[in-house]
Amino acid sequence: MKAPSIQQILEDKRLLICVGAGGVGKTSMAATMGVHAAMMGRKVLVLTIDPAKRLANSLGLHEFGNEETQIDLEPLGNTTGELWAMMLDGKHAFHELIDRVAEDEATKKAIYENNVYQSIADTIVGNQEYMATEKLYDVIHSGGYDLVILDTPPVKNALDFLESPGRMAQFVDKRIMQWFLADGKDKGMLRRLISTTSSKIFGLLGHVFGKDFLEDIAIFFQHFKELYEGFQERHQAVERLFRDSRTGFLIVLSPTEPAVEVAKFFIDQLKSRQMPLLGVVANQCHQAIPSSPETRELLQQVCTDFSQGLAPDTPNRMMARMRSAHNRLLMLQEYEQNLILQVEKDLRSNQGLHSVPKVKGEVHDLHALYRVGKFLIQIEDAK
Amino acid sequence: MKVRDIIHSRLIFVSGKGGVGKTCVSAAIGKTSASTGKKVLLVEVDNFHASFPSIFNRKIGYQPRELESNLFGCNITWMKALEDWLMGTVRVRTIVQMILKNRVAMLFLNATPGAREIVILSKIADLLDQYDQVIVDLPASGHALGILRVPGTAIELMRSGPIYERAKQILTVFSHPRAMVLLCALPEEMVVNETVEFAEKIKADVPQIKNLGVVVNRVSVPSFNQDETTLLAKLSDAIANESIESSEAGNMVESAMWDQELEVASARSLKRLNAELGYDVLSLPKLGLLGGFGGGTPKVVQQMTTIFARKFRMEQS
Repeated sequence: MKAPSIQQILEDKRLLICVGAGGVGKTSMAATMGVHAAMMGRKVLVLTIDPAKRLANSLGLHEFGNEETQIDLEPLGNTTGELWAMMLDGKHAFHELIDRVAEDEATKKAIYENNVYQSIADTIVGNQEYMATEKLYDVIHSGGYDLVILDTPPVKNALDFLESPGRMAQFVDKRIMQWFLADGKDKGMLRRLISTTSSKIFGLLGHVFGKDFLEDIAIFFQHFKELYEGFQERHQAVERLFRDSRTGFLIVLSPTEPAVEVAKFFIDQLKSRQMPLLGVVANQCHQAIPSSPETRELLQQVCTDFSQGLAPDTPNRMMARMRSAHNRLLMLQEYEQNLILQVEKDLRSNQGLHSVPKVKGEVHDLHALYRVGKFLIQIEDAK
Repeated sequence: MKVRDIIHSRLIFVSGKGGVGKTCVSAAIGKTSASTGKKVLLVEVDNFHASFPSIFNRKIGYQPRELESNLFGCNITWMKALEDWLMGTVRVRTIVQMILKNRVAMLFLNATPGAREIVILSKIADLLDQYDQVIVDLPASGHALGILRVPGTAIELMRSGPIYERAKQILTVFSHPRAMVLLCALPEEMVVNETVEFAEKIKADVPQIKNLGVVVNRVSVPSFNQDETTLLAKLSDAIANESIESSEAGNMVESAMWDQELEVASARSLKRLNAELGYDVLSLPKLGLLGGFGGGTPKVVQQMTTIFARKFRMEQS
C-alpha cells in the first residue's frame, strides 16, 4: 500500500496525534498542519496538552486559557475552513469537570476543600494527561470539528497519555470502585476498606502512607462518585478512537541522534499498541547544494562589486567564511540524511517519510507556519 | 555564575525545555566532578527509555553501576523505588511482595496523587549519603516542576504519618546550601521565554532550593565585523530579489547567514537571560562533529566536559 501524502491525511482524518522528542517542533508542526487543513476548507482544532505555552507562541498569540480560540486566517486569504486552538490547562479543566458533575453546592464545596483534591488539582503530574483524554472525548463527540490535531508532550508523558484511557478504565473497574464507593458516610468507608479480605494490605498501606492520608483519599473518591460514573465508557471510547481508521499518529523528529532514537522508540511503541502510524515528519533538515567553481567565481565577483567603500579584505574574508560554512552545511546534510535513513528502514510501505527543511528565523506567526507547511505539501507533489 | 558553583554542589536537579541538551550537560558535569576525585551519581527519573546508555555505552538499571571511574548511573523507576520504600517500613519481603502483587493495592498506589514523586525523591535523598554529588536529569520544565513541587504540597496536606515525615526530609535535602536547580537553554527566543518563566516558578513554588543556575548551549560568539555584516546583508538582499539567480550561490550565502543568525540570537539571548536572572549565565559553544547539530552524543559530552574542566581550573587559579 502506498503511503498517504500529508495532504491526503489532512483531508481524510478526523484525529491526528503528533508525538516525538522534545524540541523537534511538534507544536509548530501541529499548528502548521492545522493552518493548511483550515485553508483546505476544514474546520480544525489544534489542541496541545503540553504544559509549556508553546502553541500560543507558535501561533503568534498571547497565551490562551482552556477556551477554544479561533485564529484569524484572513492574512492568508479566503477559506471556508476555520482554525481553532486550545491549550489544555489541567487544573482549569478539572474545575470545570467538578462544576459540571457535582450534585449540589455542598458536594462541590466538600470536594474543593478536600486535601486530596487540592493536591490533585495542583500537583498530580498525570492530571494533564487524564484531562486531555476527557477533553479529547468532548471535542470529538461534540462533532464540532472536522479534524482535531493533538500535540503531545515529550516521550514519557506522551506514553502516559496513550495509556491513560486504559489506566483510567482500569481504575474505575467495578471491583475497584466498590472499595471506594461504598454506601454510607465518609469514615465508614475506611472501616469498610479495612474490614474486607484485603484488610491486611490496606492496614499495611495505612502504616506506610499514613491513615489520615488513606482516609482523605477514600473521602475524595466518595465525593467523586458522580465524576467517575461514565468514565469507563468515555475512556473505552477514547481507546477505540486511538485505533479508529480515521485516527492517525505522526512522529515528528529533527535530524539529531537523540530525536531519532526517540522516533524509533515511538515506531515500536505504536506498533505494539496497534495504534495507526501514518508516517514520520523529519523537521528542520538542513539543505545543502554542492557548488561549482563557476558559482564560487560568480560569488567572488559579486562580493567584490558589493564591497565598495568597505575594508579591502572584506570580499576575501566573506568568501572564506562562505566556503567554510558551506562545507559544514554539506557535511551536516549528509550526516542528517544518514540518520533519517535509519528511521525510514523501520517504516512500512504505507508509512511515509516527509522532510521539511530548516527555515530561517523562528516559526511563530501564521505566515511562517504556512510557509513551512507548503514545504510539507510541495515536497509531496515533487515526488 | 561559575562552574565551581556547580561542581561544588551536593545535589543538582537538571531541567529545561525539551531538546536543549539536559542529558548531555548532566553527563558532562558528572564527568567533570568525577575527574576531581568526587564520587558522583547520575540519576534518571523513571525513564521508560533511559538516555545515559547511549552516552556511556553501558546499560543502567535501578541499582547504581559504575559507568566510568568514580562516576555511577541509575534509573530510578517507580516500582523498584516503591519496593524499597515498602521494605523500609514493612521490613518483611513476603508481605512487600504481597502488596506489590495485589491488584487493588497497586491501583490504589498508582492513583494516589504524589505518591510516585515522593517515593522517587525519597530514594534520591537516600542515595545522597553514599555519593559526594548526585545529579538528577529531570524531564522537561513543566513536568520537572510538577515533581519538585510535590514534597511542599504533601507537607501542607498531611498532618502526620510516614509520607509527611518523608516529605519533610526531602525538603531538608532541598534546603541544603549546596543543592541547586540547573536549567539548560539554547539561544532561541522561545527557549529563553520558557527558561525565564521556569526560573520564576521554581523560586516561587520550591523556595527551599536556594541556588538556581542556567547553562546556555550552542552559543556562538560574535565574529562578523561591521564590513562583513554590511556585505552579507547586501548578498542576502541580492538573493531575495533574485538579482543573483544561482541556487548554488544562494545556498553558499545562506550558510554564512546561518552562522551570523546564531551569533545575533546568542548575544540577544544571553543579554536577556543575564538581565532577568541578575547574574551572568554560563555558556557553552556549538559542539560536536559539525558545530552543534550533528556529531555523536558521546563526543559532544566529551567536549562539554573539557570546557567545564578548563573553566573550573581557571576559576581555581
